[in-house]
Amino acid sequence: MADQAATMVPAGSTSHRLSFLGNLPLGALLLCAVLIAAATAATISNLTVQLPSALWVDALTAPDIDDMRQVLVHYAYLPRLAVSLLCGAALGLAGTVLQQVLRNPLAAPETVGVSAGAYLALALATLLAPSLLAYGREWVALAGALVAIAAVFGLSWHKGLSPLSVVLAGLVVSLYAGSIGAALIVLKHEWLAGLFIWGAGTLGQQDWTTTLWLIPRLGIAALAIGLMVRPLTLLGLDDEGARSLGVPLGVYRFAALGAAVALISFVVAAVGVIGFIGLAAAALARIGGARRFGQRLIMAPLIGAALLWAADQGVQLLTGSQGDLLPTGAITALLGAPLLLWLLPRLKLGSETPALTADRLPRALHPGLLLIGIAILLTAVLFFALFYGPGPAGWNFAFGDQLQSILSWRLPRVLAALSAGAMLALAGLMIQRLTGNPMASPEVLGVSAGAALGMIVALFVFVDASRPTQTIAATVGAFAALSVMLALGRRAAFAPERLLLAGIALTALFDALILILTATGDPRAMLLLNWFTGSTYGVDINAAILTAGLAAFLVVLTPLFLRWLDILPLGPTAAHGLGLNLTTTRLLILLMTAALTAASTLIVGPLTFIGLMAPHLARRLGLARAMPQAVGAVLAGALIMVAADWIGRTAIFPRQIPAGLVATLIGGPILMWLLRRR
Amino acid sequence: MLGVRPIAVPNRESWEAWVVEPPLPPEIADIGTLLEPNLEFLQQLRPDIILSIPFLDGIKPLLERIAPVTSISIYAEDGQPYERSVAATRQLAQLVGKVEEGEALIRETEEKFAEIRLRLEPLSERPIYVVSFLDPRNVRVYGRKSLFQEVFDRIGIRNAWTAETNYWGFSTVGIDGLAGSSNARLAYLDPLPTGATGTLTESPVWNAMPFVRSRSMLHLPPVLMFGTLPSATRFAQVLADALTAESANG
Amino acid sequence: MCEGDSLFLLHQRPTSRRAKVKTVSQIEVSTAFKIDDVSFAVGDRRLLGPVSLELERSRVYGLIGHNGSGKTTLIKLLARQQAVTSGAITFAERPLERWGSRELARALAYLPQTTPAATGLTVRELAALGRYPWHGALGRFGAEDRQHVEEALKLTDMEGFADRLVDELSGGERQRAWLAMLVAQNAGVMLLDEPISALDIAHQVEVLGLVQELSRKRDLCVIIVLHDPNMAARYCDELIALKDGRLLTRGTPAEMMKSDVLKGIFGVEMGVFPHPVTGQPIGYVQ
Repeated sequence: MADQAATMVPAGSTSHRLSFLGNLPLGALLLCAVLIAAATAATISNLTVQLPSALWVDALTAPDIDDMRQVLVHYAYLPRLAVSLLCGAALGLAGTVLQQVLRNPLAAPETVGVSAGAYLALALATLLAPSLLAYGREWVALAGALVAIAAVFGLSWHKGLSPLSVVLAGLVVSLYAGSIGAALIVLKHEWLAGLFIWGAGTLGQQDWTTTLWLIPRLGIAALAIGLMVRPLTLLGLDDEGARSLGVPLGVYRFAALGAAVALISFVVAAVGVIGFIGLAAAALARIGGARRFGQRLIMAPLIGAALLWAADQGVQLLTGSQGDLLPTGAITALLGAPLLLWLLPRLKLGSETPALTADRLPRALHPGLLLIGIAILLTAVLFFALFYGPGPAGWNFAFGDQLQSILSWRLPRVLAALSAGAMLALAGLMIQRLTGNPMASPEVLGVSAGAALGMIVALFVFVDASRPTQTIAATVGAFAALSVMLALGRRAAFAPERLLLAGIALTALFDALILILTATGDPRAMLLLNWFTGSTYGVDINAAILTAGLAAFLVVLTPLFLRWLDILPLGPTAAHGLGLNLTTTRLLILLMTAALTAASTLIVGPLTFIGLMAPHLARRLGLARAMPQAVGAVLAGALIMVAADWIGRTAIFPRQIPAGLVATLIGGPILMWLLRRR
Repeated sequence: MLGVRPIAVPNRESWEAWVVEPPLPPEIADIGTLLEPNLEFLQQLRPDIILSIPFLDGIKPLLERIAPVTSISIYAEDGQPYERSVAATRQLAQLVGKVEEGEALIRETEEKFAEIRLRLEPLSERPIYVVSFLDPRNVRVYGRKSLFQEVFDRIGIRNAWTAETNYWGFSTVGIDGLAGSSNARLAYLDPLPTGATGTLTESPVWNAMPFVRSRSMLHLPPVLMFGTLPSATRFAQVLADALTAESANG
Repeated sequence: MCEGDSLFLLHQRPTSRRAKVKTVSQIEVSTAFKIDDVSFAVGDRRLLGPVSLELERSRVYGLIGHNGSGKTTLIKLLARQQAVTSGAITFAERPLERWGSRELARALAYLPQTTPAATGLTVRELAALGRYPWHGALGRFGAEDRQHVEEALKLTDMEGFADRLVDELSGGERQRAWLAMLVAQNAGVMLLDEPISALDIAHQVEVLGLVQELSRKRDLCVIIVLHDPNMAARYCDELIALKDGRLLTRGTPAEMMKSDVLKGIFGVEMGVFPHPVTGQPIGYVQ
């Protein structure tokens, strides 16, 4: 039983088997050497293609402006190399500091949502208020990053900022930032091609300005961190320990976090989001035997720089000088996901104390009345969604002979939204109660990411894939992802922590693929984006009825699970003591969650934010037991999705905003409010 | 076109920015985005025919409930968007009962090409890159399998971009990727992303580009890169105009 | 499946013939646990064993020993929270691993060292979860279940708190709420892992007294992990001392509360004096 065997281990004591000789982090040094050797080889190979070696010194010191090859090497190739080294080092450093300050071996620029926040702020500024950028891109990026990390803290505070909840909250914040970005893209994609490229982390340079811009900024932040090495080392202890040694915790924690966030913001402002380098560098340094914080502060930036250098040279080797643009940042993210899966068993994360909410939430005196109230509200929204909306002649109620034809368009969509909302809410409730983690959403099962990958394959392999083909491919993808997850989880009796992290890795993999697709400007990416953002568009009545039937069937099965869902939040030990066969129970709940998620993903796409939110809404309203919470969540989920679909169809008529997107945009602030610290 | 007026198009505002010609009369309705036209609205407009693209095949059964659907595909694995445009024009003309007009349009297009070919003969010795700027560092460059390539072939211009292109006939590359040809001109299309030109002039790579150094850059008004015959004609026309204006200025 | 008439009764499903089902204490088996050469290791590190022991019904056993002596490991093995690395545990004359999950939970209740702080449940709801082994995922929560829950609340003196949220209780009250769940489970064997570590002295006495009383009233076999040898001596019928993962010695409190025995267990010089009132031996560190 992995649950019981795992004990709380402070983040600093990850395995360092490789450090058998003295205190030198030999593993990390070796890794660095290998990476540098590979990068050097790739660099020489790339350079040779561009310029005969006799001219290299000239190109470096005094390029002949009449020789295009020399100009390119001096002003494009070399600055790109410099930027890759700088950014890699900065991300490695930022990752290490984040891990130290948060005492979390999974903290990284990408996992705590900082990159996504910085990116979104810059994207919004570019589109809506370009004048802001005149004050300096770094400030805009920094503001976004700070908002994002504040949100992550807000979401994970009540779990004591435990490694898993911070990462989950980071996922939620990244998702949220991503869907705001997606909303812009869906509506205004013609104007955003440049944003795509930058967002996917393209290192291409055409002069030394970015390099010169980065050096002082990164330098100051790194210097600030360097001055704090000693107090930061103590931050790795627990609070009491550090405080008793005379470290003013708050001050240093804040300062170090600020410096790390600044490093990330500068990188994002300069070259966009470079996925997973921060996490990989910090984790590899640790695993490679850099045990002391001081060592990690040196090794992680070295590894980060070498990693990004090697990755970027590899990308250039792959594309050649005239090949299609491949964004390095997205490629590293793509490679990073398997790395995360590999890292998981090697990081001692400690087990989570299960607790749905540490807050003492009120309980409704009359859950029945409350549920009836929500049901009435749902009926009202259903009525408006079906009968009221704008047409060529403005807003009107549908009636008479017009009614039938209008209903034939609206009914499938409303039905699809209703079923999807209900199913996702139920799936969210199950996964939250199973994992005992309030930040878990159906997304983290990886099923929706799998469905989306299936969809990508369908669209790119079969050029004019019909809807049934797409559906089949998505189903196959969902099942494949589920099998992978189950295979990964089986060894640990489906322990929730591992499953969640594996799901996060799978989701990250899929995000990276989307980034690459959108960055290459392939028009098919738009088709995917529309589906990804949870649109009920184009659902025909048969599909809607099928989904509704499936939803009804699965909801009817729910009572089978309710007692388990009541017991599981007591923790695996207590549940086992009460005679629950944990492996079987977890497996059945996972399968049920997967079925619910897959069924809704197929009809409204993989945006399942509602699944995260609806159970919280029900809980906040005072529905504590599994049964009323499930009913409340199902009703609330359906209510929100139907309302979101209606708003999406009518708000900017005749254009439409996908329902999942509307639900996410509305739901984000609601969720923050629900989980607010009290 | 063909003497038939559509009652609605998707993405009206993009038309003005990216297509320009022919201008859209104000009474033509906007039915939402290209990939998600508003079906409810569309039905209330009671169209006779719906012209669709393969991207919308997924909702074809739904569109067919409103009106007969003709799906036109200009892009395919083997390219040839021009031939496909000609075929599509014939198909459309047949569909709306304007066979004569359709043939006339094809004929006019070919004549226009022939005329421009003659006009550009003295100016056609240098190859041209046709690009859209995505941001100050990256461009979409159009090559094989693109509509622009086929126009080039017909008006006797060599495309400077000879490398592989994707399904839609373009590649996304950094501007340093355009250094391959030493005597090429650069034709870049409107609309430009904000800030593209401002920072470009400061870039040493940009300034070292052969076409920058020889000042052979052509700034073209918007032309729909994924269009059919009217866009092809428009492209030939604006390119010819820009080339002649350049040679007139010395 | 069955290995004897007495045990056959244990296989009966609790649905229609619930009244006939007996807990281990009601069966004609005097040995609850037979631990045969059991050891447990994580990787190369042996945490326990080999240990051989027999534990009988109707007795309260106190597991004592220094930190890391293997007390918690042993009780987890008995509760089947962990599987033995080698050796065998027999529970009511049947190999432990051959018990069904719910079947085992009907016969054996386990209180872990740490319980989650927040559950969102009331005390009565928590106690009612103890009936899960009897009604399962779908069975009706019937009058008998209700009766057991009320009785458990009464026995643990939690009636007055029945409708309060567990989250809002003090440490001692919360511990008793969990104990109520265990009592409602109505098992013949109770395994308690440091049930009093979070409690003040008054609550320690209260909880242990309750456990002792339950054992007498219901003929239960209780195994408690305890840190304090004096508490263990006062409330247990027999003490089992572990050291470095091995069984050091076992005996009645009187046999165990001797300065040389205590020194052997805890590794510090200890003395013993008689309790001024009861006359029981009290150990102290010299």
